[in-house]
Amino acid sequence: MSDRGSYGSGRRDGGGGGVALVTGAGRGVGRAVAVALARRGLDIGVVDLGGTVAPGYRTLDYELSGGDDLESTAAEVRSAGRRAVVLDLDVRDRSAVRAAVPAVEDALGPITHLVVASGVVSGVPIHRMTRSQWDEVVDTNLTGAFNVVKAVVPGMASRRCGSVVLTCGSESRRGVGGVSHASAAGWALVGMAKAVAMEVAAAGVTVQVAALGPVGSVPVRSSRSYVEALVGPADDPVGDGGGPVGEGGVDARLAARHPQGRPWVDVDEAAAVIEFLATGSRAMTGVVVDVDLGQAARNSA
Amino acid sequence: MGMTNAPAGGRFAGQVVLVTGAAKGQGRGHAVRFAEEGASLLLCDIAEQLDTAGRMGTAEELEATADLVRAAGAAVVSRRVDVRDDVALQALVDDAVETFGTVDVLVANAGIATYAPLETLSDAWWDDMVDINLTGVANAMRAVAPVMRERRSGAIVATSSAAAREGVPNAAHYSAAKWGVIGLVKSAAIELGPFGVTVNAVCPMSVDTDMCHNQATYTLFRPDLDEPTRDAVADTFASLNVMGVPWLDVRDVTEAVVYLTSEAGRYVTGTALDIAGGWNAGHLA
Repeated sequence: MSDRGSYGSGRRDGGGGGVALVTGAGRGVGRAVAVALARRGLDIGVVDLGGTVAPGYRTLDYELSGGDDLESTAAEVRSAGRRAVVLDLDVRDRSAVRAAVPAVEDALGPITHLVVASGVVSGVPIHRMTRSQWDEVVDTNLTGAFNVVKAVVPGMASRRCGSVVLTCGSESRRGVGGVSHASAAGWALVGMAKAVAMEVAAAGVTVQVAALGPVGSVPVRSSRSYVEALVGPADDPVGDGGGPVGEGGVDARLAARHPQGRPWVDVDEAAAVIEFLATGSRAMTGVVVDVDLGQAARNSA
Repeated sequence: MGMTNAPAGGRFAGQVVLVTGAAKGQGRGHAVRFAEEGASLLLCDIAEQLDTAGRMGTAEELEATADLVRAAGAAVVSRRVDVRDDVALQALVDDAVETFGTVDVLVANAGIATYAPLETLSDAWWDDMVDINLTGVANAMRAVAPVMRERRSGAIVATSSAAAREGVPNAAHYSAAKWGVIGLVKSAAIELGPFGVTVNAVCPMSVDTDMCHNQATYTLFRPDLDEPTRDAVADTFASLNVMGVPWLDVRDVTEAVVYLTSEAGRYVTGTALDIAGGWNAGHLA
């Protein structure tokens, strides 16, 4: 893979594959990206809530990553013949995020690739939204991403080598009723990405954003409140009672929102785009790519 | 009432307008204008200096705004409120409903501006910027949304920025917060539209206030000068937009705020209005 050249010069053993830090790597898109980058020859620092950190969230209606999730991701990375470092932390915890960088770099070498796939979701209309509901989404999806970017990107810029991909939901690219907190956080993340892209462009560091339509994995699929915000008024119960949102009505109503007529973006489809942005987007920076089942085709920009 | 005939007593006669960040600058300008147009005013400002911001308004300045509003013949309630304090904001709105019966217009204007490259951007600067410029706007909107929604009437305008329409180096925190305001506005517009409530953002370029006229801002645009003066930076500011205007008058923004919240703008919602001398013309959206 000749495109390792501009990013892959960071390894201590001179292997040239590079080192990726991936947040949200316990499950879903983050895990898929970690494994995909490992198959490309990168060693991986896998970051998520891993079970030793008590998840400090009160307003979410689904289960967070934890337990063996991170170790499972690390095992898949190692199965691909690469090294993995596991970092069990909450991206809102700045000292933990800052400690993670030397922990990864001492073990694997300077970070050449950063993928931020961490994020939480919920759905609630603004007239009923509590401060906690706002804070948990904004603190994680926006400030958590900032914490990681601030810890990693200046080093990339000083080494004149690096590739950053941030992720957000499709409410980051339009207005969406019922998720104004996620919309605010996602739009803000795009603004931050473009600002940082401008700052580090001349140093050869790229910063891209992947805006993902609803992904068919936790957390999105399991958050009843988020899914209800998309498929109908928040007061209408849809899907099965309790547990992950059921098939049937929800899938059909979600599919109806998307020109491609499918309810969910597959994890691997999202991961493939992120992998491209992380490894093959050298002549681009500040770009937002919508992987959203055709919602982009309706958008003005 | 027809759009072409201004009602007796002003376009906002009988309406209740809440302006945050009202001690000086844009907030003061908007408040006085609404008063001249017949509204009753709720004014608030933190009226306290933070380490993480340029010069902020004082209690005396907030009171001076209240005096100007009274001089225009308007009833006014003025209170020191930090927009980060959603409980205090809700109490202000609750008191407004008790005193005036409702809140018709929210101008979510309170904001700060600082600049730093990512490598020196401190956590405190990031936190205060997001907490004030984004969360503060959300707090104000959450405080008024229930009453506006219930009355099926209302208009919200949030102060965003030309910085929310592009990637602005050395302002990752400010850009993030101001971009976030637009997302918040559009989503809230979708939710509240069916209830007759409009929600919009104004995106001004530099405005002729303290937020523009300070060494931090001047230095950002003229890093080559030691202590740039207003005259020294004017040409640089003017070169940023195709009309060659260095900074807007406050009234250039006030006109937009009034339009968006008046009968004239009754069907304008979910928009981000660029008031930027054409800085925005180079953008796709």
